Amino acid sequence: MPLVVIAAGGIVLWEARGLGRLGRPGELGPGFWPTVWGVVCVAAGVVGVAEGVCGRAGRRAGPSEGVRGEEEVERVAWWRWMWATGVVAAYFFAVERIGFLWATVGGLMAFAALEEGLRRRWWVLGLFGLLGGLGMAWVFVRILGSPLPVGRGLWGELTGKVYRVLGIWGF
Amino acid sequence: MGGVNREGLSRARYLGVLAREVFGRGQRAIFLKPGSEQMSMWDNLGELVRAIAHLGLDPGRGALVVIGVMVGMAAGLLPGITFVMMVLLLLPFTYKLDLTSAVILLTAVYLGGIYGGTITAILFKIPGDPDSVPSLWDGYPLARREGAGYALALAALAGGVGTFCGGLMLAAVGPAVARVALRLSSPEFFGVVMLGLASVVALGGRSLWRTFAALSVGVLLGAVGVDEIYGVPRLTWGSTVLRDGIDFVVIMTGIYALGEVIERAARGFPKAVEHGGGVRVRTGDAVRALRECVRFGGTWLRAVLVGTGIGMVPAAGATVAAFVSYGVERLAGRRRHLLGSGVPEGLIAPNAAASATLGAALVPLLTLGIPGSAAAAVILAAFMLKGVQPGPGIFGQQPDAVYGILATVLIGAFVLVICGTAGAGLFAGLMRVPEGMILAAVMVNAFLGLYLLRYSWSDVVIGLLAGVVGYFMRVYRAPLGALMLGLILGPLAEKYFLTTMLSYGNDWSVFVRRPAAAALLGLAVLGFIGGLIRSRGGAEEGGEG
Repeated sequence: MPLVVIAAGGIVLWEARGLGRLGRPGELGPGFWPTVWGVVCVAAGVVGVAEGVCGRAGRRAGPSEGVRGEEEVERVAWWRWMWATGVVAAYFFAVERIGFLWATVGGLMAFAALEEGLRRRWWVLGLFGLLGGLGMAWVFVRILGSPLPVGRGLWGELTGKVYRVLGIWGF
Repeated sequence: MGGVNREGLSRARYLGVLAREVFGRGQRAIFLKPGSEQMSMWDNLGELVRAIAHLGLDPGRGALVVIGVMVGMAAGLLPGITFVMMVLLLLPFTYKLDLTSAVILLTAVYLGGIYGGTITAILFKIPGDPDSVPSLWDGYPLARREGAGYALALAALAGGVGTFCGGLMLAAVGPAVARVALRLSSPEFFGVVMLGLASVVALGGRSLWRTFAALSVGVLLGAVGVDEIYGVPRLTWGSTVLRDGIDFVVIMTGIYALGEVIERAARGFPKAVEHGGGVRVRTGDAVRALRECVRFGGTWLRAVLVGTGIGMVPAAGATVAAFVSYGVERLAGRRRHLLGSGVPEGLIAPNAAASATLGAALVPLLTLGIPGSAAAAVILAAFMLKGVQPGPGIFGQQPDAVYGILATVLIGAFVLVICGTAGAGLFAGLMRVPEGMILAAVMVNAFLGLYLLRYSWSDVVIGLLAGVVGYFMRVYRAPLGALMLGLILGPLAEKYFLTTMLSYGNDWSVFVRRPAAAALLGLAVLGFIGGLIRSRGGAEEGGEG
């Protein structure tokens, strides 16, 4: 992690170098602020690396600080992480293509299926996805009047039909 | 003075004059409405009474308070949802509301959320939020010994009284601070903002480099976009999307909501509590709690003082106040040796202090535009989305919204006591809802919050990336609050610093020559040193996220 912090600070310093000269009267410039905090960022990362190398954090804090991060990563089931992140990302990108309604129905079911107890009860999942998707669309489009994506092509037509059934007009 | 040519000097002078126009004379025009500076204590009291009467008589807004408190309480006790997250998730529901209704709803959720986690801490020994942890130490044994109804009634009373006292403090101190703030100039405002940034470091975790890294990343994210003073695009890498800057609501939604969703899902869901509900607070329990709590005057006073004091410090918030208040009770309480065995003082102290932070956290928000907590930052967002920048003149500019918040806190305290006692069993029953379903709903709400903010797909993508970053920040124990306050306070600090430099001809000594600015910056330096000492001493984790 400290290396990522150093890299982020370094990128900012590189980008800020052409923005304005630093510390000259009348010419603090737009690059002043990013340069100062870029230096703070790099310095923080360097201290992090130094702590890691010296093992100071590990000795002082025990496994609760320096090592716990790594342990936590190991304990996480990576398939679960991939599933959760994948469902969130897929849902966000699906809304634009297939519309809020259908993406929400699928997204709710796919995410809730991460829970083992719910995975076995597929009908609960289906009901949750369907009612959740319809309920959210009704509240936001009908009650709050927020225009949400309806989807492209066939998805848009399907959304329109459902919206008409629900009494949601002017979507 | 090397490198100063005539052209450069004249440009600096020109910018100095321009800055004085905009931030000197302009500030008066922007911040002051006729008569606002001269508002006396009686005028403020009159406005407050009017706001309370309006809120009480307006069924729509009254319903928003009740709904907000109940939603906040539900959020406080549900696994996977913190009250900060719920305030954030309710933001899209307020886009179509007027400013006053929007801030009333969000304040009510904040109010209920601080208390909500206590219910499960008392009943199941499961704190819903970090600020509820000290409540279980005495709340759970007290419930086992004296009955759950009595413990819940006592906790609700503590929450209600704490909230009410915090609200009174906001009503008393807020207008006075605003009057003082109207006389401050950019060097003093820079000092105030730096004090906020220093408190992040002082209250951060024991790993100082992590705090500084998160803080600097936040400040740098705040610097993305067209620079306010010079009008130059910065850190945009040629992207037109980034020219408008990154809205802090986008990063906040990603880090707090999506990061939490991914983290909890990746860790695996615990089994839902099977035995929720069925708990009733009888009238006898409530009367007994009311009668007994009068005995603990010292505890109340200490808790409210701790809560209001800590609430005003950015990055501290309800969690720190609850722990500190319990610690103070352990040191100064009459029956300190009994703490932990299930005594009422152990339940009153953390609950009253945590609830009292609400009013106090709104003081810097409303008077200086600096949020005192993460949830207050969302209320700041609600103001900004309606085109209003909180600051010293807001009491005169937006009296309906400001006094609406005050009235919400004061009325909400009573709503909290009623809902916390009469509805405790119902809320406890919510623990039976599977966490997978709750987090799936959070995911959808987070999307709505991101998309409906500006109807921009870029915000959605940036929010998603922030969610992944938020997950890794949790894994590597990086403080989320430091990043958020850096993102919110960073642009303010830059604006006030550069304005000072331009107004005073780049004379750095202005920060020492002006006594208030020097005092504030001195305190900020002490805060940074305190953070350093704290980290070297291996202190425990600090501020609320």
